Amino acid sequence: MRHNASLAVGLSLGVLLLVCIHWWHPGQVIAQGDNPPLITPGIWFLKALGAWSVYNTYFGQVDGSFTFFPFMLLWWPADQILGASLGQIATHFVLIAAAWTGAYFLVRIFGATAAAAAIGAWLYTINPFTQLVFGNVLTLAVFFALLPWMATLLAGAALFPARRGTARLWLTIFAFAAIPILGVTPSLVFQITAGAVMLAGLCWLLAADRRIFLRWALYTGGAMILAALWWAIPDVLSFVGATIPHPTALSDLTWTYARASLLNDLRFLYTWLWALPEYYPVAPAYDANLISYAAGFLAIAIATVGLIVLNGRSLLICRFALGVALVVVFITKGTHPPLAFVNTALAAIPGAFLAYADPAGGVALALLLLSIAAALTIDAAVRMTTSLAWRYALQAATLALIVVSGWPLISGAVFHGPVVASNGALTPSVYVSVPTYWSQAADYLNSARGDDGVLMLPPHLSPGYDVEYGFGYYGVDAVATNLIRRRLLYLDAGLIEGLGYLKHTESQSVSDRIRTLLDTDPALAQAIMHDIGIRYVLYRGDIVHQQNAWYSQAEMSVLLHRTPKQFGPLAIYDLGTGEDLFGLHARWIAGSYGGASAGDLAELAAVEEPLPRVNAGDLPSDFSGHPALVEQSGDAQHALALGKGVDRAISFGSSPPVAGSVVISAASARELRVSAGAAPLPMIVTDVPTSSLRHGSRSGAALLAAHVLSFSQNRGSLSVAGSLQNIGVRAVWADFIVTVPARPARRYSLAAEGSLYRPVEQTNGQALTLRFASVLVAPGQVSFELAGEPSKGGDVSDSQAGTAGFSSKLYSFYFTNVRAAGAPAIVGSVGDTFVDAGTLPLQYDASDYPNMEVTTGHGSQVTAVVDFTSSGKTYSCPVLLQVDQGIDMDYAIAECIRQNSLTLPVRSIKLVDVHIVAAVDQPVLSDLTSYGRLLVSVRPSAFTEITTGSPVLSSTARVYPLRELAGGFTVAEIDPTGAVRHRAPVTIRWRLDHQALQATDVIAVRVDGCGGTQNTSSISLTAAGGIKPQVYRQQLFATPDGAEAVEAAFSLEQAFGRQEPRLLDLSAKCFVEFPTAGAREVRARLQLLRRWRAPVPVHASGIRTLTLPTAGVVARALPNAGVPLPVQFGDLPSTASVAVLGGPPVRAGSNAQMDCRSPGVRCSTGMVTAAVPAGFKGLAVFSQLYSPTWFAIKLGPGLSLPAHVRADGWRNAWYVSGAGELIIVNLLNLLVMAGVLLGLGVIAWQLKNRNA
Amino acid sequence: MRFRAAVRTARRALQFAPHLALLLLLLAIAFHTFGWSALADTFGDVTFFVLVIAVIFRREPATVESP
Repeated sequence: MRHNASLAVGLSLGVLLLVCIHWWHPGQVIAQGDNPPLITPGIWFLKALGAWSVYNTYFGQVDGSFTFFPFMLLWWPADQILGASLGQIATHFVLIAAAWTGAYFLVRIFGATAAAAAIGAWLYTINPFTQLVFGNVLTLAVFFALLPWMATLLAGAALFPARRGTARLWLTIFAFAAIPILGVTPSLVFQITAGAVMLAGLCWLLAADRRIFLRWALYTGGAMILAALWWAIPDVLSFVGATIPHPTALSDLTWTYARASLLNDLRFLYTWLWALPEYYPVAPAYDANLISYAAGFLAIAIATVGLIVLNGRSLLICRFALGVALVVVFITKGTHPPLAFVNTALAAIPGAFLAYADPAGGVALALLLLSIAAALTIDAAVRMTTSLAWRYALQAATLALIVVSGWPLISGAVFHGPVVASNGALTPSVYVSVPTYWSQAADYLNSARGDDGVLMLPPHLSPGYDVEYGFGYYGVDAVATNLIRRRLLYLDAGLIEGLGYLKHTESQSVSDRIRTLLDTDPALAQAIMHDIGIRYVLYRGDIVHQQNAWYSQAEMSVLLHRTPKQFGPLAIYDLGTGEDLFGLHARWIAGSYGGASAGDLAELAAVEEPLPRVNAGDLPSDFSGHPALVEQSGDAQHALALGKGVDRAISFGSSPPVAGSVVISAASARELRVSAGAAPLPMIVTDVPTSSLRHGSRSGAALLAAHVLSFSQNRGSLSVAGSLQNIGVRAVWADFIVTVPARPARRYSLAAEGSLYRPVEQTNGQALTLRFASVLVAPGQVSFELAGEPSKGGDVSDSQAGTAGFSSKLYSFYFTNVRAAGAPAIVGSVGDTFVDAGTLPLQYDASDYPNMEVTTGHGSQVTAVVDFTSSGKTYSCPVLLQVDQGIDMDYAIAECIRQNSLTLPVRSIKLVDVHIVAAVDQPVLSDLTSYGRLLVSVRPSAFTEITTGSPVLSSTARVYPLRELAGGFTVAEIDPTGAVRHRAPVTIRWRLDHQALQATDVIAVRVDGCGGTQNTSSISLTAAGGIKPQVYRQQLFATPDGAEAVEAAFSLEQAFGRQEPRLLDLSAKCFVEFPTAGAREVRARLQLLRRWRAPVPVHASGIRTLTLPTAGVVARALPNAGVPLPVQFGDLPSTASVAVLGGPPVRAGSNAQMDCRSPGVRCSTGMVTAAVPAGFKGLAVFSQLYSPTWFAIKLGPGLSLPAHVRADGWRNAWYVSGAGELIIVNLLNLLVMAGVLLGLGVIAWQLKNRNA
Repeated sequence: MRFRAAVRTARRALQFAPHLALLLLLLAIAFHTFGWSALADTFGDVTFFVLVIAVIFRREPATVESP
């Protein structure tokens, strides 16, 4: 008998080993869906170390995933000894073998023969449901392995009282070291607990000494709870304050029950995944085959037969098993008919989602109980026949049906190759080999110094939480999580961020803001990233997503203004060291932030100054510290006004457009510009001058966002440095308007991105609106500096100005009159020299109106007369033209209307006898390339000679005939027939013979018609004579016909360092992907561009008539000072979700006095110690999500507990005063250690008393 | 007396619920194989409820057959 049992066990485990080895694909791991390629368990292990690990999620949180730790005892050695690929197979074998043996011994305890027990164990291990478990969902596989062993111990204790001591010991060990592995999936913890209670109930029914057994069970349960405290308490607390991205309401899960008919539930194949070919391509054939389909019902069918043939204790077990199974079947049905309302009602019970969201653990329990019943039934059936042949036939047939029911798992068919998914796309194979470039990129990041974080781009773009990588992995986006030791910030990661399932509103808010600003204001997004400690951006070019779904890597390089380090398709941008996890801040800000989100505050910090902000209401009542600034947020519905003792008023907007109002001071009201736009009030915020603000400015497709970096007034001089972000792809002109208060004479100058604009004089005691016209703003970030130097009246201090109310808060600026650089009507009139007055025919028409610029170029001030006609009546208004500053028409008209107290529609304007200088927008390269940063095209006839005949378009396969087109294009038609490969490289060559090339010249190249779907085209210029033009910028576009266009600009500056080039042989290369039929045309164009430092004025005069675009243009009068003025922060996706009125930035840059990198500070995963210097008063900020579980102790002199406050809406901060040793630690991490000691103590006690 | 006889008859009839469940399950499988999914699902539903009845009312043969 024993011999038979050993044979059954040995043979079965051998077969299972062969099955698992059959799954093995050397060098590859099984990874898809929720099962990411886990190839470096060591890093996973480090990240999950501790109830609160700073590596777990970017902003930190208590997360149950740390309880996965014991699994490392199996996984890590397997990985180290056998490698990732075979180690994974070995891990799966251990789990499936544990499940089998556990079920076998359980059935044996209930009196089944070895053969029947083996069949029962096979039925539990191999069935339709476990196809979705083994080799796939690790925690569920662990559940399947654990459950039968727990049942075995319980049954053994019930039927054999002598075993109770040992059973209790092992169950306690399970609670301490095995069940926590399930902690990462809380529903499984609940279900294994419920399963254990049910199994204990069955055992109680079977026990001869029910009362004693019950006492034993309760006692054992208590010991298990004590042993489980170390992980159970943090696991439960991880839910506090967190949200579960996974839907929990049954009504939200209806779609998952589409297949969950009772019929499918009876074979435990209820999951919606089974219907998706990308996951289970074997499913249709499996379901269509009568034998495999029918075999799926084997467990329930044999148990039903058991109802007929069993009696006594076996019948009781059978009825219990079927009863539990039918309850589970009904739960798995969810909202599928019939009786959907019953489940809907039951699921509404608090906590019921732990059973309903994923009842897989219940299914395991049902299968286990049915397997017992099946084994007992088979024994009974065998006993009913006297024929040995029939007995063997019955057992063999049952085993054969089990094999058929799980054949896709046994054959490895569930681990499929590439398949066509339900959406028609190609889903890659389940077998994945992570490319070496990932390891190289991870090595680079892991070996770099510091503890800075990494932002993962592109953000998640798919509707679900799966992503597809070009190297063949399709599933949860956790490839980097398992490879990179740093904190990783995923954007829009869907279900899983980091390792766990839970999210917190605060961290979500900050990451959402970064996501939004990457679209609208990348510079500001970078500033926030710096503030939260991100140093690296990892752009994963191997993520497959719809073309143009997000920025390409080339576009990201432009947006971030960085050149990445490349690892295959991965690009790593180094943004410079960010703020550390810990910092001592002597300067901080107190405020009242109302309902501002953590994202709002993160944006505010990036806009103004990266100092920690604390809600004043959170400070202790006896607080005596002094903030650097006091801020107050204004309700969007109320005026933004500076209250007493408040330095700055802020308005936050959760989503644009944000409406609100500001109160204009008397000084500001004078400068307030009147909108002449088509829209009535509320006005765009850019039209509201406030000081030290950062706001959006929008005109058409252009969007400017200004950001003051520094502001200072010292000894009569003014210095404002700022940056301006142009999110558009085209260069624009904008007028920079600065309102300055009346003060002693001063001379103002503006420099923007290297160009110095003509200075403006301010006379003594005169308030002034400075206007720097036509500031060229290239795409991306443009820096500007406004300087005010005393030039008349000497160095006069502000206090001597004699103007009451003067303060830095009265300065304001904004950008207006934004228009595309190179407006067509004006470009056509550009000459290379000055044009005599009256000879330039300016063809103004309606389309020019917003872009038209009128400037005077004649020495003194000129008064122009603007006449306009409306409703048949002509109005005449004098307009003062400042020298070289100009006006714009809407401003002039608005002023005129205001002065005449008119409000009327304006239809046309007639300019009469004005000497004007058209500040003609510089002719631009924009039709060739959009990188118009002070670049002026120079006509080829004047400066360059592109030798005809030399452009040769060729591929490696053949040379194509060329034809010349007007406009400098070279065109070739490429016929895909013939010797050309499907994808052919195309080379375009030019010869540039130039007598007077300058170092600042730029060569721009555009090639149209290359590519196809691969985004692979690029332009590289090579030149003869050892000259290597340096890539200035390069960008890849998709054109409407699906082809690519690639543009690049090359700088010659470096080339000039070695020799002066004269003759340049240039070639560009791109790839052509041929269409299935027909020819392809490739166009290439090269142009020499010349950089200019300032606008080139063109003089002209004459009578011009200007027609306004619509009849709806209305000008309105200025509001009165002190009256709230409605404002609107942009009308489209806006960057201006935070507006500020009042005090300028305190200081730019980091203000941390000490951080983790400083001597005397030690930062580790769950603890910080810092030697606070003498005299320090301020905030100790620890950049992990605010939680009461973090606390600080300050030692010496004496022991004190600094006040714990929330900084920036999400961080932990403590107010610290005076020298001492500061210790910051997480209470839960301490509790875990205490809980582990307690658990070990309970186990030791059980070990000592197991025979008692 | 008549009522008790009816109850006894019903209890005897209920002992055949497992047999009926197996029959219904076979029919459901057959309908599925023929491609009649809706009919198969309906039979699956009925099978489930017959099984519930079978589990609740199934008695040991000795008990059932005693007078």
